[in-house]
Amino acid sequence: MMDRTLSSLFKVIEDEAGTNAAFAARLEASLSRFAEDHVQKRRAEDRVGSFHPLIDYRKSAPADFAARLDGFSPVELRLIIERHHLDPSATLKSRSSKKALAEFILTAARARAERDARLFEY
Amino acid sequence: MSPRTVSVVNMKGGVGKSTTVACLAETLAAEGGLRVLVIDLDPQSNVSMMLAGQDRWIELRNGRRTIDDYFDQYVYGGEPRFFREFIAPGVSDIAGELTLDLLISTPEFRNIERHAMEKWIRQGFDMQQLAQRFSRLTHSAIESVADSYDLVLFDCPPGMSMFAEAAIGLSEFIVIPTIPDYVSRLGIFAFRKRAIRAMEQRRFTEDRIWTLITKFEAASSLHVSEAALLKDQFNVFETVIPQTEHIARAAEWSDVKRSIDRKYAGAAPVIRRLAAEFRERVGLI
Repeated sequence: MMDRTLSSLFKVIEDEAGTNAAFAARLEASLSRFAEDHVQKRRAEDRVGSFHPLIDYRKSAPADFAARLDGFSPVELRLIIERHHLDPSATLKSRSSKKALAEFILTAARARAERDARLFEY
Repeated sequence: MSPRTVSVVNMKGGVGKSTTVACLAETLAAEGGLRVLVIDLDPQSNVSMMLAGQDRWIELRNGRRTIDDYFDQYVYGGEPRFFREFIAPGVSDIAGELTLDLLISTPEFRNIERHAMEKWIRQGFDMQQLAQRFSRLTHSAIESVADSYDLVLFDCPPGMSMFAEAAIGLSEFIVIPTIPDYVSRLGIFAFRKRAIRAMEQRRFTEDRIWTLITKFEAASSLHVSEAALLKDQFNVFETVIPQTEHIARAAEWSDVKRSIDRKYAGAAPVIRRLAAEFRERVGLI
């Protein structure tokens, strides 16, 4: 049912793009923007895949951990924050600098490590 | 040879303790050829229902062949019966020749512990002596059937009870099923120290306490993040049990016997992997 609905919708879009040059140009721009975002997101996911801020914080020297964070782009740092739920109250501003994002991760990782250490004495 | 004794426990409910016990028991008995005894220490009776089915559970309950009845004789007196008489032989809806026996529990089981404590405290026992008494009773029960089984699995209730403490105290290994999320991880911490103490009392080490990740959702970044953290902090099974309808459906009793593949459907391969890893860990190869 969903497949059929989508097929007929795409057919309408395709027909319109075939006869309406302005619409076709807008569609192409939109699709390439989407593709670009998608590629960027996939690339970021691959880059942060093996990095776990809470584990790596505990296992690395502070300077190494900071250097690791420094190697990530702002998009990647945001992905790390999202994946590991480091900003549960959404306090980060959308336009935070790379430095601010890295510091945010460092603070959150330190807090979680301290909290977990106390749990072992539970 | 004495059977391996394993407690499946977590302070938190709903993490898959009974399901883990049922899966392991059925797979190891049906495909591993092990003689398995499951002891249900949880008054919710979930593993009893899963392995015996409702009709047999009622029959056993009416026949006074429950864990409540076994301990009842020590609390209220009465004609003594051997532990073996309380065990239901040949449970499970898995087809084939398998030795999988069960001691069922009922919701009344929670009262036995309370009554035992009231009575024995009135008689002058302190808490430590009470714990020792529960432990001795459980230990002698298992010892009386030791030659009949390769593996004894205790399905412990959430929270902690004197019987669960006793089971942990005599278990050689402890499995802690855990959903990879914050509150479930707390459940491990809440119980970990007690488990370590129990292991140390028997001169075992912490490496006999294993965490099993259950209800894992690969698409959830929370689960992925928490699972990595669990693997970093604890001794965790390689096998991860996914959140799947197949396992939830397998819990329901079938009047017609079936194969492991039919029962666990798409989850059968992961159940087999868990059983193989478990077997290797407990040294029953």
